[in-house]
Amino acid sequence: MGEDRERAPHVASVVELARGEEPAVGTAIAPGIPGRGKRAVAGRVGLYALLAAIAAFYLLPFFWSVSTSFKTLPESVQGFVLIPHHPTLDGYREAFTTGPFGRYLLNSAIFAVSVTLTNVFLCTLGGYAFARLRFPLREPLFMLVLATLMIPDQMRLVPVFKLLADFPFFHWNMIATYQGYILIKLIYATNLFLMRQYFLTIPRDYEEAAKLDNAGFFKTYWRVMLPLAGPAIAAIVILSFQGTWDDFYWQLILLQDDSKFTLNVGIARFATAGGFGHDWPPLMAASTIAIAPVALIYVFFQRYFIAGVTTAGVKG
Amino acid sequence: MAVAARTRPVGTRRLETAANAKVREALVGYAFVGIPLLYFVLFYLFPIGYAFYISFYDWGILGKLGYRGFGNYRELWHDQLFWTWPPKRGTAIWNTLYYTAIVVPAQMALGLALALAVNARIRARTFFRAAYYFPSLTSSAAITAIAIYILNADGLLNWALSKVGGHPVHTPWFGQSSTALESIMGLNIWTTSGTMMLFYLATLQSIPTDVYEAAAIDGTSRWRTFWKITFPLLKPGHFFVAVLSIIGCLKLFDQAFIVSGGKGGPAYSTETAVLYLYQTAIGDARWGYAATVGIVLFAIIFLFTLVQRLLFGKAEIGY
Amino acid sequence: MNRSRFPSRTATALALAALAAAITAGTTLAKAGGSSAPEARKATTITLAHWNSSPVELASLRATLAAFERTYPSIDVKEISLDPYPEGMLARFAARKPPDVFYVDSSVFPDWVSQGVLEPLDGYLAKAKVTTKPFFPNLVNAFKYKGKLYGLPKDWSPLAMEVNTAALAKAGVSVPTTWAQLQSVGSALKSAGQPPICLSIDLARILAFMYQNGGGFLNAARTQAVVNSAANVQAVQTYINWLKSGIAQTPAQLGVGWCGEALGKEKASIIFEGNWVTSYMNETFPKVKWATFPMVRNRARGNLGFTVSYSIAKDSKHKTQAFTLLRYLEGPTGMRIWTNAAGFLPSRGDVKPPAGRAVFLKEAAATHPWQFAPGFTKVIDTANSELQSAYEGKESVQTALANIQAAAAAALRR
Repeated sequence: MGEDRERAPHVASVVELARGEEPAVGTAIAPGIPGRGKRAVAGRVGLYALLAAIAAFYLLPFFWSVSTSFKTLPESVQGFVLIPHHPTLDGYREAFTTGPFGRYLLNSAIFAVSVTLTNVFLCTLGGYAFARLRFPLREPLFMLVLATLMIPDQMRLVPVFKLLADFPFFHWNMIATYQGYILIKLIYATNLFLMRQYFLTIPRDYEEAAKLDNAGFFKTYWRVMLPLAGPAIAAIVILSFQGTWDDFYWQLILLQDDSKFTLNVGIARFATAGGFGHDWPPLMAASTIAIAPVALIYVFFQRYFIAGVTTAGVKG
Repeated sequence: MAVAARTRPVGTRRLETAANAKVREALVGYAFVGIPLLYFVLFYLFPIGYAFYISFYDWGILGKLGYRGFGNYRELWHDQLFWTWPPKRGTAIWNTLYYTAIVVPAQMALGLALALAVNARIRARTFFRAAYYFPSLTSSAAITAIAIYILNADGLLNWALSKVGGHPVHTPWFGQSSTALESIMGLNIWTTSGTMMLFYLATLQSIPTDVYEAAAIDGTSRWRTFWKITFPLLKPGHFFVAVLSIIGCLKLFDQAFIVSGGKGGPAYSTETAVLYLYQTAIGDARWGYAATVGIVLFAIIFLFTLVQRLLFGKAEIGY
Repeated sequence: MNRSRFPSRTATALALAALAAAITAGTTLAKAGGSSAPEARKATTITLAHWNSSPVELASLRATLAAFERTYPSIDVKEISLDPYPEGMLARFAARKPPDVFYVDSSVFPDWVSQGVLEPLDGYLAKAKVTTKPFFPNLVNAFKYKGKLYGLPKDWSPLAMEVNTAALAKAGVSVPTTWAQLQSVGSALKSAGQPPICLSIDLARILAFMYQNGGGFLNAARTQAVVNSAANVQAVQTYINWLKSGIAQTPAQLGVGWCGEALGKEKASIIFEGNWVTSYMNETFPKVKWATFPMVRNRARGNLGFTVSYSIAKDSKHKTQAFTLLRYLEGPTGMRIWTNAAGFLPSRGDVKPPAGRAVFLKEAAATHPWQFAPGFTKVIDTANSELQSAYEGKESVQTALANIQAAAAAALRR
């Protein structure tokens, strides 16, 4: 029972991360011993100015994109016009008709939500089992799961494509289908790892209490462990959603049908040939639609974002 | 059944139930991890073997055309588009390595700089950290589209350069082979710097303050403090970020595909290793050859991933 | 409370997992097994795959298919738009679940037919007593392989010269007909401050100029590559010089995606594009004053013909119905509806082309089909890359053409 505690991660648990604490213990570097002299103040003002300039530079392209999405085509090539003089919804209208980016948006949402659900269910279940249940070969099997992170997507392209094109035995063709893509993205090993690590940190007393109430394993998982896993689940929800919403590689390869395209593939198609080509307002409208949901989640749930990325840190 | 249980002698019942309980727990354990394991076996482990199998054959659109043994590998060895000796720009491998050589140091430097900035005792740290990390979480397709717009011949960048330089600038950044890949470098350095910043931040904050206090007491200047003390102490961070960055660079695909329409142009300047793989697999439908390319790429990437795992265990940052 | 409920708990967990798997399998099976489902008594559904360049084109295709379904109520047509097209089709061929009828571009035809994914049509044509005589012979031959016919051309287009007449009037020049005249018109436009000529670094344009200089790509029998000829070197060098001297610019330099867009945005006065630019200009830039003129010439007339066929998949499960559809689409009625609605040029002589396209038709005599040999997609990519390098001054035109020749020869050898 003690070994489980020893294997707990060195970094702060996800709970603490989610509460907004820093990823590791220790404190910030002070810029020398803080002084209050004129030079020090000037230095600080300069520092703030520099940081603000960099922040502006980092955020400018997004504001620029949003701004252009409300412009007319001639205005979009006129140089630096941050607030459109005659804002119009034409860009969005064209994106939704010529696109059809409405359908692409729906597909992106369907995939992101479905993959998030499968990840949450299967990773919490699996993570709990790997953390708390005893079965032979438990540790080697977990190592196996982690080992798969070393297998890059690039090598899997050909075999996975052929697998989905002609599934052995059943001869299913899952290319350009919803289930094919969801199947490929069913579980992120990182999420499984995260959940296991998290479950390891939950005191055993809760399970002991549940056992006293004669709860079976599934009931324990459902009624006891899941509610306790809030912050970790929040982290994997965000990671799964963002990972799928932003995914380009597999969406390009597996969704060969216009009716299944997501925002990312749609934008890629329209940024190069045919479609909008250099029709900037609809293209920027599409980009804005693609960025907005993740941006919103980020603004409100920044802590969970950072928590997930830093703790896992395993994006092989 | 309950009645029968009650009438059994206590000792035997406990033994039976204990054994039963173990088996039951094991079964439930397997049931819970069953689907994940099946998934990983089917889509990660099986494909490895399958890829090797495919690579030994010549595959057309409809199926196996013939056994080639190592023929595909021999062809890849001589493939001038994949790699050449001596190294030449415009080949998949050398484009990718050139890209990696430039982007990795740049990403590390920028990530570290941002981490130092965000870590300083300033107000609104959360805001700055959020702003710097924001580009990293957006979809690569959307960002590349925005980049194409800004880097167009009559786009924002040229407008700014014209204002600064005084004479009109109309460089088609993504449209000529001398600047296409370099523009992608700039784009990716900018987008991934936020992620590197986070990792450096974690390492930075795990350095105990006594070190700085000691340095301050000794009267060490800020610059020396950084170079002689902080920088070396960041070694785990350096390694982690470096390897992560290298692996990410070797896998460059999204931006190269979108910018060149999947063609690797102009003049093969944006032809990356993974783009080559995609073209051979999906474009030409030469599955056997494509599987070979995939395996060779895997070997290269695996080498770097192995280094990362060996040096960092399960990728835990900190001391 | 001592009742053993454990087996049922474990069973619940296992059952849930199995249920989830079963549901997934079931839906997948249902979705994937669609094509092998028993055909409805009322109507057979066949699929038609195509690519899509504009909403007008899509609407025209749908109108044609609707007319077909009215004439043949026992056949339902489901049209799907694939993008990217060649890759999407290859994926479907590989899964042995291809659409029944689909577009085949003349440039990928050699690859697909040599891999055996197309159904020969001679038998069906003979049985239905349909002749290919009304079709333009050049176009039909593009879809023959080893003596058999594997598709019928649905429309076609050569290149022509599109001119912004207002800009030329301002520069005080008349429309050029030869290379020399093109050069002087270009200079006049430049001096008058008018938009330049737009030229793409694309084999699908430069090759026309090669033909105009007496050069070419492959010999007539398509057994040898003739890229490395003096005539070709001269043609490409002239083309690049036009760009270097500033009388012409590439789309990238003009900040547009293709020359048609340049013409529309009045960033170019002269472009060389096909019939597709007519509808594009009419829909997107109706205010621009422009007109179509014959392609320029040098030593000879030379032009490229781009054509697409309707073909039937070898693995199609509804070949008879597919042929009925194909026959209708390629027949006078179907083709008339399609070409008039979409503004394309019919591939049959007995169908009147839509208005304002006479210039394109007159190019037919000088047209070489845009088609090579199997395995040439990579060669075309190499060619474009080499031409781009030559244009950027990274290598000489001779070297570029020599490299293309080598690539073409290697592809022919395989």
